[in-house]
Amino acid sequence: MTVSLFVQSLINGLNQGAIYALIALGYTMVYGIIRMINFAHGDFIMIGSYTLFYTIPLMVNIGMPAWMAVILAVIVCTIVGILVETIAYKPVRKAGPMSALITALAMSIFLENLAMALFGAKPHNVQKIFSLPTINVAGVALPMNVLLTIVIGLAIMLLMQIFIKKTKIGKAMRAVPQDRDAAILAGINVDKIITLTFAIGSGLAAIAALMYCAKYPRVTNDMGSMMGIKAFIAAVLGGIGVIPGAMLGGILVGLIEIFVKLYAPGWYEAITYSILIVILLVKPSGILGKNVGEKV
Amino acid sequence: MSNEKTTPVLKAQHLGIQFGGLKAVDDFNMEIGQSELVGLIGPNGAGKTTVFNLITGVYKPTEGSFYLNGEKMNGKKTHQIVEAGIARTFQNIRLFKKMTVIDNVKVAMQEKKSTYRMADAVFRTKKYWAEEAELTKRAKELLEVVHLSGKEDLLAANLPYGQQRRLEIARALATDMKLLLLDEPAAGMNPTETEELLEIINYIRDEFKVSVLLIEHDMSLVMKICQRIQVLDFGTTIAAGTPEEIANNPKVIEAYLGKEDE
Amino acid sequence: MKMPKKMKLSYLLNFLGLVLLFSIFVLMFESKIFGTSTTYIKGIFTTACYTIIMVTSLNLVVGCMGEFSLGHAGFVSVGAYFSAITSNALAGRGIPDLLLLIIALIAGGLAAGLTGILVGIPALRLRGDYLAIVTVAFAEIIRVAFCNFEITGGGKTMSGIAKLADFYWAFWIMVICVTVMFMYVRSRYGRTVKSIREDYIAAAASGINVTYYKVLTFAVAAFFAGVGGGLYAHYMTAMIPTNFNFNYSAELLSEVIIGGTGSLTGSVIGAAFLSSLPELMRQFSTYRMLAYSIVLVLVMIFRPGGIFGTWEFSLTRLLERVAGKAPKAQKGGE
Repeated sequence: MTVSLFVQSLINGLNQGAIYALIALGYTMVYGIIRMINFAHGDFIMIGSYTLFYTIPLMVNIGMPAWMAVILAVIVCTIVGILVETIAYKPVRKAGPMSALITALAMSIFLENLAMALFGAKPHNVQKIFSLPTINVAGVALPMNVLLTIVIGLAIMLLMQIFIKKTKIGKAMRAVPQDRDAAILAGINVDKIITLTFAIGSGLAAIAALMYCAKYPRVTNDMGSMMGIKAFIAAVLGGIGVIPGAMLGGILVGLIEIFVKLYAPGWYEAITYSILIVILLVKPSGILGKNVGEKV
Repeated sequence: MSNEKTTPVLKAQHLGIQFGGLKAVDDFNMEIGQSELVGLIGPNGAGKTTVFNLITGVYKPTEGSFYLNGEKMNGKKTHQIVEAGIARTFQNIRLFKKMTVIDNVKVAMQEKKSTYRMADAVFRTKKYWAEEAELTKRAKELLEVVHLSGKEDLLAANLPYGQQRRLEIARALATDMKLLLLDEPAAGMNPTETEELLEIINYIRDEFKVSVLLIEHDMSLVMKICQRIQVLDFGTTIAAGTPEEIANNPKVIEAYLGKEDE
Repeated sequence: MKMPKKMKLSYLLNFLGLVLLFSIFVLMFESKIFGTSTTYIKGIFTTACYTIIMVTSLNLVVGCMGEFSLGHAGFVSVGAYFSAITSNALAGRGIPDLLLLIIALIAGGLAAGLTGILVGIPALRLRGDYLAIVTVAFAEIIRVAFCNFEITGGGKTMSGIAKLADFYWAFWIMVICVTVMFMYVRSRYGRTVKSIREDYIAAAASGINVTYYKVLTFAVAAFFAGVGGGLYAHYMTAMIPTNFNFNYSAELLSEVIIGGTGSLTGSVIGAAFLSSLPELMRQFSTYRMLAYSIVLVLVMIFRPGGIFGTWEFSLTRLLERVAGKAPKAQKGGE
């Protein structure tokens, strides 16, 4: 492999990885606090992307920059997230983790098929969002998009860390997964905290959707399900529930996919899924997580 | 009534386990003879259940070893240890709640008592019917031992608390063990139920010729039925001997009183 | 000891019931009561037959073992491709169609069962949501593999598979598969697996080799998923790896959940109903998954055990009740 091909792949991998990381951040927060694999999280990206598809032209028409449409996308995703949580997840919360898993799966199927009914199965092309230059250095193309995605990812990661560690609500959020009953006794409104977690997670999905559409301007109704699972893999790899772990895991998965694609283009997805299998079997707590056993 | 000449049923030598930096159990030694009833007592968090978890293979000991009838058990999996002859009950009852009372017993019994294969099950051969009938018969006998006759077809979850504890004993008996580990079998029972339980434990020891290791919090109960008692505190053995010796041991009194003063 | 008389009578009755049901189907189709759409309706019933096998087998994992597999389509596809390859290899050697179909189905089932063992040994060390997501991963790896192998069409449609399965044979194959699975559940094997579902620590403490029985049940489920896949292949005669994607696994799981976890009756009726109803109302077929998901959420909220819960249909019990005998309390055993 030539040096320039290597560097180019590195940049492509970082770009892909930064998007996974953005999705994984929302995923890992929801899982960390509610201990539920929210299959519908990937579909929030899809909702965010459709919102962008319809709102970017509006923004452009009133003379605003296209990326401002993300504000509307955040609002839409947050509302959908809260609705999904309140209507479907809240009623089954006491029935155990398996009911929650099935309900999440059902919501994922629901959102995908609702989108199909509303927008059809044809892909929608999103308008150009950023007009950032691509710098050429020694035969290597460095799109500024990549840097922007990574910077946004890091910024969100830092903000989330500060929010979770320093604020009162953040501390309450961390208390919920430790011991839900104790949290209630300590005067924490667990229902409210969980709804808030979903609201934030869904809002983050909208930002991830923006960066996704900036790179791949195609929106389809089923774009979310597999991407959601890949983001979950990233979150598990980094250590599920650990916010910096999502960033790390996302970047790693992106890099691995791009480099495997170079050698075995047909198999790169199989490699991604193998990562999940290996990490869950060898170190289920992920790279940055801590191990917890079951009490007998 | 331990017989020094024969191999002890259970022998633990310098058994210990660490969780992180904490020694949950350290240098645990014990010998239990044929048909002996030994008590393991100590304040909360002394490491009693951890000893059970070590002996049943739930945790792997980080030091020492233990033997059943002279056979080394270290590193074996739980089901292998049960097969060799150690069965237990749990402090926080672990029954198969959504299964019937009799199925709870049959499940534990069939690993040793039934040999029919998948083909026998699919074609419902004579062997299948014969073995299933035999399992049912023996399971009913065991339920009689723990005074649960007539409850066969109830769901385990629907039994009252005291009966659930007795069903756990029947399930342990069904594994055809040589050493029975009872983890606080009288917890949460009223005096009448405790009395009935003592009767059952004594009956089991006499009829089935098994050795029993009993964890109990209630000193008076242990004093009443155990031949020997070993006292744990902070993972280490602080005393061992007959009930009288233990009752007068200043260390034991301190461990218990110290704890109760908190 | 011999089979108890009552059981013998009950088996006989159930068999007669099936023959009666089958006769009704034969009468329906042979009399051309549906006119030109006879073939079409027969096709729907065939679809129902293999879906029943797939869903019932998944229920062994979900209901009996209490774990969620979201990768059942992976095993279905192994069975489908392997049986197709087998029947292709044996075609034109004068083997009667039915025998060829049976050989192909068994080959597909065994390949899927073996895959089940290979997947089960590592995967079943996990439980709950981690297991569910790992089964997705395995199924996706299987799908990617079939997309890359030349013999399976290399990602394109594999066509030209002999049309060996029709409704009549599919019906009896379905009956045999469901019966075998029922017998498995109602035996010491099923009892053991249920005890693991209830409390795996207590099961191990009762002398049960938890891993062995979990992998065994997983492999049995995979075997029948493979047989179902084989029927699919020899009825559809063409397939592409994306047919067996995550959505297909999710669909099968939905049918198990809606029918009732732990009730094979629920799986049979659920699968038959859910796979044929949308076909019968073609104009609504785009809304099928939408309706599924809504029903699924409603079931989870209002009837978490599924529509049939753990209830099993018994012809004997029904006849006793019709005959006016006192209805007996439902028992756990047979």
